[in-house]
Amino acid sequence: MTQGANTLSATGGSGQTALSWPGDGAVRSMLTWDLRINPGVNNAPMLPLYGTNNGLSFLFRVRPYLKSTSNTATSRATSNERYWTLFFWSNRSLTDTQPGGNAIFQWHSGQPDTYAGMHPYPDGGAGAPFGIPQHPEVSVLSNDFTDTDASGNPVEWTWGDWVWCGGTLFRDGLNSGNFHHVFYYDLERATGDQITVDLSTGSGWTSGGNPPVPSITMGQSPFKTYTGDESFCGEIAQIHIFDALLTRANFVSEIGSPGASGKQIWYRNTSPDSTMADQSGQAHHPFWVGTAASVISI
Amino acid sequence: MELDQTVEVTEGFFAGLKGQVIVRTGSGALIVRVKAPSSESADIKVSEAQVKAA
Repeated sequence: MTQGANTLSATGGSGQTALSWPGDGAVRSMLTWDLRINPGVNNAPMLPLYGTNNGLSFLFRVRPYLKSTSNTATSRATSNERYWTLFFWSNRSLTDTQPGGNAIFQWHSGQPDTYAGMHPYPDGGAGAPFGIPQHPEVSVLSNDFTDTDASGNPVEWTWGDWVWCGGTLFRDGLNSGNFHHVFYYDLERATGDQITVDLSTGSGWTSGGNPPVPSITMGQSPFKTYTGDESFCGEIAQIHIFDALLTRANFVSEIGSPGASGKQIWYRNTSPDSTMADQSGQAHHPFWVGTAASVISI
Repeated sequence: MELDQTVEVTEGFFAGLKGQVIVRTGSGALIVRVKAPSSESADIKVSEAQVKAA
């Protein structure tokens, strides 16, 4: 398959729309799912971090732009810290105030717990937080894990072009065993392009249980640790979230025909607008913290 | 190396420390939980090439 050529897409084409984030986070615009089943009663999530049946997965069609110092065909000028948010399952503040983000992130006795993020990380050049380039990562256990090529150098995303990416979170068994995180950051590349992070139960991961306000957020993070927050830079055209473990082959089948994998869909939207209503029939509608992201034709 | 395996760091600043593998990545990075001289545990990030089974 050709890198970035969108050869797998059977659902793209004229008339489609996408959500757009400029990358600087100047406007608060966070797509949010509050996962609590009984808000105000307890914090039990309808979609736990590792799913209800051992597996949470997502499939997105995105066009990312490198956060850099100039506007080009593949980059956008951003002057603030260059952290990203594509996808986070994490704690969230109901007041969404800043400062205070660290307390939201480090909700378990002063430590982060029971969260995962998948997006680029600004560890290029001089390193975080202003690093250029950024590299796709799995964010878990207070660490940022990137992928390396055969020479040991961190790999980059395909900037300024449409890519399909998928992620999956699962354990050895239902609510038991080690924890596994896989980010297929470009499903159209060769099969090696994935980040895999395995955590031992001995790590103490998830020992705090679920965070106070378990949420999925996209486009921006719920942490607000600096002005501009951790923002996506580019466009998101399709969002598919599954309450299931999907393999690479499952993702590829979903790209060709949504629903083809037979896996339990939790949310789907393939024609973004300001409401981002759930098109899966599951009624898992998100809402915006701040204002809705811009909707563009692609 | 496998999760929970006991390993010894063979190279770098942490050489000689022993601990358990708590994180393993597909690109060969490990996080090893070691017992520091202060008796507190610490997590160190190393590569598979920098450790051996203990």
